[in-house]
Amino acid sequence: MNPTSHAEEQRLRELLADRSVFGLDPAEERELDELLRGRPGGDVDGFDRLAAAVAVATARPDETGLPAAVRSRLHDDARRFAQRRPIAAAGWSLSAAGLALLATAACVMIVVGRRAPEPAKPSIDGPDLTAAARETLAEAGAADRGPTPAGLRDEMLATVRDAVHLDCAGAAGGPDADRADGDVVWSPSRQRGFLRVRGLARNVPTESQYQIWIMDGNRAVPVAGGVFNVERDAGDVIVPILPQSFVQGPTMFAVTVEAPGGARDYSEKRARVVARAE
Amino acid sequence: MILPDVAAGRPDAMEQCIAVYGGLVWSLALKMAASREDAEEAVQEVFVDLWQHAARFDPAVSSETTFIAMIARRRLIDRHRRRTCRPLFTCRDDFSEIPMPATANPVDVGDEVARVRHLLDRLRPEERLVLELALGEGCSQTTISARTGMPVGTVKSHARRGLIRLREWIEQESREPPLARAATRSP
Repeated sequence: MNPTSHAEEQRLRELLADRSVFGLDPAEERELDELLRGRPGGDVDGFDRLAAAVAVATARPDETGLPAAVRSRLHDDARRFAQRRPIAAAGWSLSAAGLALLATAACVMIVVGRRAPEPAKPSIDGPDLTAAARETLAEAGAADRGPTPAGLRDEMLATVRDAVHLDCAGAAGGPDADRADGDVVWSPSRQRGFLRVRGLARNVPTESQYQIWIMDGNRAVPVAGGVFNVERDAGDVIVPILPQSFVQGPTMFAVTVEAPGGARDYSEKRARVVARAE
Repeated sequence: MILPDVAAGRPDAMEQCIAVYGGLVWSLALKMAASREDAEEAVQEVFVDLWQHAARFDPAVSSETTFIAMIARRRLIDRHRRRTCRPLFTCRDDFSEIPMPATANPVDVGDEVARVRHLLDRLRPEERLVLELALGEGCSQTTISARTGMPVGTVKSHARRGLIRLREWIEQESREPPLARAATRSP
């Protein structure tokens, strides 16, 4: 080995070691790229593997463990990845390809009964998915159609052991008090559920939307569970309940009418439907 | 091993991967992420990375635990680079002493990690200290400098030298016959 290549080899190891511990700045990244260019096939992961082994060897065990809400989202991601279906292929629609997102959807915006304008590119949205995860899962998507929310609801009832079923009724004093009813299926372990409702007045999405809320006995403030639209006057509407936070012990589910996009705070005055736990 | 089943597309393998390695990834994310919320997002990204790259895992090259920790650390470092306004790593607030290596882990750490624990004892104390703070606790160079009194440049040098030394020992061990290796490890 000539002196130049020896010096380069040494510098390469230094940069790989630095990268695996603290990361590199852009200038160092460029230098590393330059050094690696002439060395195809080398074990460039060696220091990263070693740093990972040291991290595992020296870390104190974390006693708190993976939070239940994160675990639940990971299980959703896993199912989505396994199915390799698009999370949303043509905008938010419950009548066509967008139904696939309901399989595990981490979305708060659901438009019921009307096809939304199709975006130029497939769009995936929702608070539970990070941008990178959305991107990856979108790339993994291949099928055109996914399960219906009704099918997913039935599946939850049939296969999820802790799924509970609550009846809904129109909120007392509300405009839909006499005609709205339905039910809620909720799984504490999945941190997911479905609302089936009928008799709600049709809404104009640019003016108002319905929003789901979950009252948790362990929280002072209700947890938002997603917004949706109703654009038919008759028939059942089934939408997923997707809490923005972990719900320990739900005592009541409610649907309110809010400005487009939903509200930050729950107001009983705007409630249209409620489902109370016994 | 779980990752070969993940690579083969077995859906229950991904669930198993979460059950077995969720705690490990979460603990790494908590140490290296800017906040708890950031850690929660990062864990999701790490697992998607794992499922996508599971086929790259080679048991002849590393243990499954090490591979998963490597994927996790890369993702966490990458997230930091996307948010350069935040510190690279954060230390736990309750840090008060040099962390001791864990005697038990919820996952099977395998020979590789056990070997690293043994080799860490052979490092110079300052090199070991810096590596434990940086990799075990997720401390930044600046934080380590503040806690130890070492200049930032020295912190970086100790980390680099310590890691290179570990790598050299591992490469050396892998070239030695098993008997000689056992003798080297004896006290």
